[in-house]
Amino acid sequence: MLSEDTLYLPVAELAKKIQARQISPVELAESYLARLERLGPKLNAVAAVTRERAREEARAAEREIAAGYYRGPLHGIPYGAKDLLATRGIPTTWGAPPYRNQVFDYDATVIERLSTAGAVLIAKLAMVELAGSGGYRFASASATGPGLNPWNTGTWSGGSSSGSGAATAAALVAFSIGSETWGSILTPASFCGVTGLRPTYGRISRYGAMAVSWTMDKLGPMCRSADDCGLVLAALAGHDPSDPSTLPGNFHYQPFPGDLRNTRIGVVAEDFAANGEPEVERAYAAALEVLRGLGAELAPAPLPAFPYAPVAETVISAEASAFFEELIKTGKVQELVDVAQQAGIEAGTQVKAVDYLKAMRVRALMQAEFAKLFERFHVLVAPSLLFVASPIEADLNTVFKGSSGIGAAGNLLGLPAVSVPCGFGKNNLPAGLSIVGKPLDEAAVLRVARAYQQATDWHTRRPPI
Amino acid sequence: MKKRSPGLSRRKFVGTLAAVGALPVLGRASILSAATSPAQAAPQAPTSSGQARTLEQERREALENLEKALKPIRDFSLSVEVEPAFIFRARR
Repeated sequence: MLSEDTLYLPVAELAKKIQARQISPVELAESYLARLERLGPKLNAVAAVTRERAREEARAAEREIAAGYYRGPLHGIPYGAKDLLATRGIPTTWGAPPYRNQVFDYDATVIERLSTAGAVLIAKLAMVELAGSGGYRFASASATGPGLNPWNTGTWSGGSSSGSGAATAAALVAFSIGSETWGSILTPASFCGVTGLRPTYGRISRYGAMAVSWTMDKLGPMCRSADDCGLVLAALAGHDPSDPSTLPGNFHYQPFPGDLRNTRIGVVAEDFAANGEPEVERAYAAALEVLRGLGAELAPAPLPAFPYAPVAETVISAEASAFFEELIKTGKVQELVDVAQQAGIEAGTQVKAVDYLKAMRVRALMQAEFAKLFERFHVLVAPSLLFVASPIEADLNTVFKGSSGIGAAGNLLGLPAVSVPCGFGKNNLPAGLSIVGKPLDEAAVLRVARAYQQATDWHTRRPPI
Repeated sequence: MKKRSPGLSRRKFVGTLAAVGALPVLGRASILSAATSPAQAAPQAPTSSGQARTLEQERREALENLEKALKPIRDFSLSVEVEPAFIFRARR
């Protein structure tokens, strides 16, 4: 079995060793599988271990590389996928009891593209049931139990990509795929101390993914560095005829070697005094100093005044309830773990068409105003959250009260964002810095994230598990 | 381009955010009309404040939250030229 040090290597480093045949893809997959089976249950991070498929894909990678056919940086790299992505012949539960026996006969486009890149699927990762489509009050809102944080298993790993965050942080996988409608990549990335990329809406095909909101859902990588996120995005981006919302054009990741001179960064104001924790505020302030030290020009970026959260709430409520119409009609909604989630999914049916369309009209104005904002700034920054991971039994409606507008705005407008670890708050739990860009400018977001990670080592810290 | 309705100050806006909950994928509204079976009426696990909650309570709160979310949208002043942001694009 390979050492823990090897399993914690970033994808870029593992790739070099695989290409140079210093690491065997089969041995790498077996090592991650062993760790996944040993630690995954302790974190409630795993929905299913895909052992058979993993061994088959790892053996194929090994054969190809031995024969001189190297597909690229994901060839032979083991990963996990959030359990809302269809995988042929393997249960896809959407984290929810009503779907515990659901099996698709095809792979989601994301799984297919990773397979083409030579990556090795070793697990379906746990998630909040239905990705929190109806809202949820407790971390326990999952068929696999509450996602436990590898930094402190008395705290939550975040949601809804709970297993993706925890498994990546604990090196149970080399990288993972999560999804975000409103906070579901950036939150677990921040809580678990990993680097999570929410790409531009339409960058990555959603074909084969459970929907929460057709107009807001994004799939994205959760990794241990910004570089790794760039590599995974490059394998996934591009138009897919099966998903009409996908955009044309591929993404080529070019690690940017320089500093941040001539980079204009807008700093989104946050009310730490009212809603935050002082330790996270200090970590955030220090992160801004690092960016300034790298030569970036920082200036306040007041967000255009819009009711971001109410618009996001309305759009998601209406679309999620439409997607889960059958679940409501059959009464199976009552099988969901979280009572608030049951109530929320039913509630979305009460959103009137006129209110939904009004929300979509306000959304159009937001797009126009943000385009002006991005004429002044290359990227915006904000704390991913104003606090660290919450206790496992906490009422999440209390924990998340008063969160900022940039989370809702960024998701409504389909803006790319990355959360990078930026220090630690109380109880030695990770805090995150979010970097948000204009549509299709993942390159700028990753450039700033990479420069920050070149200057700091927060992303290399390991949880005590 | 028309601006938001008067009265949606930043302070009030922050209050609205708090009211509707926020990340990750938020609190939700609910309906009052659906029947409640005995099984549904069983309270969920206690909250950190020690309170157990029934489905009926959650439905009531969800409905209140939905109304709170809809109010600033209904109050928002828009010019007739503003069309919905349809993100889906027609493709041949």
